Amino acid sequence: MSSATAENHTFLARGMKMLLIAILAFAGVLFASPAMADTVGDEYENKILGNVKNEGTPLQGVKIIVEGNGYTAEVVTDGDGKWSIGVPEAGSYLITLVEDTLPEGIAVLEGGATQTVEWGFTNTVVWNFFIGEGERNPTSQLDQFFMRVFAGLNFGLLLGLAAIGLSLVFGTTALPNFAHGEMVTMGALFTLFLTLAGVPLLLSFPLAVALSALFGWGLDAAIWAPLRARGVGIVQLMIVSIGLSLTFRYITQAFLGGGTEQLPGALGSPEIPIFRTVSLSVNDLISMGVSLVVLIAFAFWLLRSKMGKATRAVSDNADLAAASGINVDQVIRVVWIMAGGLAGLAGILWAYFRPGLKWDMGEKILLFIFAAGVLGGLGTAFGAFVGAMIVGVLIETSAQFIPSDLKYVGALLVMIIILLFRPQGILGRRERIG
Amino acid sequence: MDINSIFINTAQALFSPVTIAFAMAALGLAIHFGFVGLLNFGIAGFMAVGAYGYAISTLTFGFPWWAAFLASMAASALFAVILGIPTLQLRGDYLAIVTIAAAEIVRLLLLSTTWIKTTGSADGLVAYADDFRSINPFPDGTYGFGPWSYTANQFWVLIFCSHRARFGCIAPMAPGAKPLGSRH
Repeated sequence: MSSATAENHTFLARGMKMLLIAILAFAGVLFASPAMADTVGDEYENKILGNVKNEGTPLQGVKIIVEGNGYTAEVVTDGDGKWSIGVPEAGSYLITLVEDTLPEGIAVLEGGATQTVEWGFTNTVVWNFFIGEGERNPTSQLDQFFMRVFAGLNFGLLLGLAAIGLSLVFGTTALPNFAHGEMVTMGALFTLFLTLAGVPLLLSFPLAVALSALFGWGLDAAIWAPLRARGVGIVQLMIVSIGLSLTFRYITQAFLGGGTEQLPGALGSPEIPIFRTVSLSVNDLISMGVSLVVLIAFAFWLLRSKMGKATRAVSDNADLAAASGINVDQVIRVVWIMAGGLAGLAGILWAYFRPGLKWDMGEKILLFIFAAGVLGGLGTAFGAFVGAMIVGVLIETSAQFIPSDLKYVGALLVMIIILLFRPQGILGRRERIG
Repeated sequence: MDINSIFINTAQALFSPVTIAFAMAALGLAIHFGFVGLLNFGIAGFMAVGAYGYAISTLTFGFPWWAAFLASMAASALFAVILGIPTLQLRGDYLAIVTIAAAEIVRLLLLSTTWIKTTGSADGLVAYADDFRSINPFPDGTYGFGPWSYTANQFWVLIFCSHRARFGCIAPMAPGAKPLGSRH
């Protein structure tokens, strides 16, 4: 390729980046004028429906949002005040009536604007808000924002646990492991099976993490180590990891079925007020505490212990590390064990965060683990942590400004844009990309 | 289990409109990965852009079938150009991540209830093929022989697709065209 074409190409690439940004901006404008419906999710058998009336007068254009079990939908009421939302399963959902869309001086009088749907024995549940003239007890925009930031930090912390494993595996073996999402699922799955087998809950957590670590070690010993020894190319390894991901996902479905299971204590965790109207559930607080402790312990291990130093050395430059007497195979084995354990812990915490345990939960989180890893710089453990916090907070806070079923788009866009402008990530080094 | 039905189903799948559609998508993938070694895991996203491009230009904008065809291919090609050129600097595995993410973005946008009137959200879109069917030269009835039996509409799609194979291949080739020119 002549240098003129190369320059041309760079110029073209820059132009295309600008075009991409322009289109994203245009998409942002589109968000501002959403077309709404009074019925969504018609294809699902299970429906939540209701009727918004104030003293017999139907209210049109009131927005209702249903969230839960990894599903989000929103509707606005029609001319008769009616709305209907189909949901994938008869599980527990948070349902919100957006008070800003009610007429002046009208408020939800009982139970608050956000309520938990309880399911009977039928496919449909009628959920009506008791509204009338009254003082709104609104959560101000600022408080909502704080609550979203807390939720984002919580999600970011558990995402960090998973992303560090992905990033270290990438750093030491150059493999983007698409089966990492299933390693996350395993943690929650082991916990469920252990508790069902009668193991006390508090004992089943460390056992499940240990089993997940064992799972990571098993994957390396059975599949990755032999493939590495044969010198199989990265692209082939990546396709193997996609195959593994599908295999484990559908094996999980075969054992678990298509529904959502709950770990003990996942629902109805008491809320603790933090300040003003901001409150956090006990589960959230425990989850954040556990993540922080484990992350700090892991950082110490990485910085202080001999093995941690060796891991960073291999991640930096495997050949150089091998030449200076580090047992690279042993380091990689330890990295897989760590990655398995951390991903398993992330899975348990995520099953409490969602809340719910489902066969395809790993697939749902995989791209955000990648987004976190890419954002911080694949191959860097601390970068993965920083990236995870940004992705977590970005996902949760963006839902305040864009339709909530599009909140995941932001994180993916950021990942693509980071890869375009700074492919080595925030803490990565330039030479990693080829 | 009726073993015979497995053979019949397999034979039917050999020559069906869906198979041809997948073959075209696979051709696009083959150009990407086979010729220039670019890992595109988001080919389904391109298919979605093409399919929705056709359906939306028919239903929302009232395009005739041929204009909708062109519009859908243009949309898919535009998506490829926007996504393709800046990402070409990326190494194979990074590109794979980007293409997966892009396809996921397309899926999330199409599933969102925000534009339900245009995209149909999770219900998708139906009844966009009327204009294409109206130029169907085959009268109603059943066509084919043995296990290969088609309704007039299926037969029309099949004949149209295979007759216009080269024409139809422009759509899956468009994503491959740019990488072909710009890297080598």
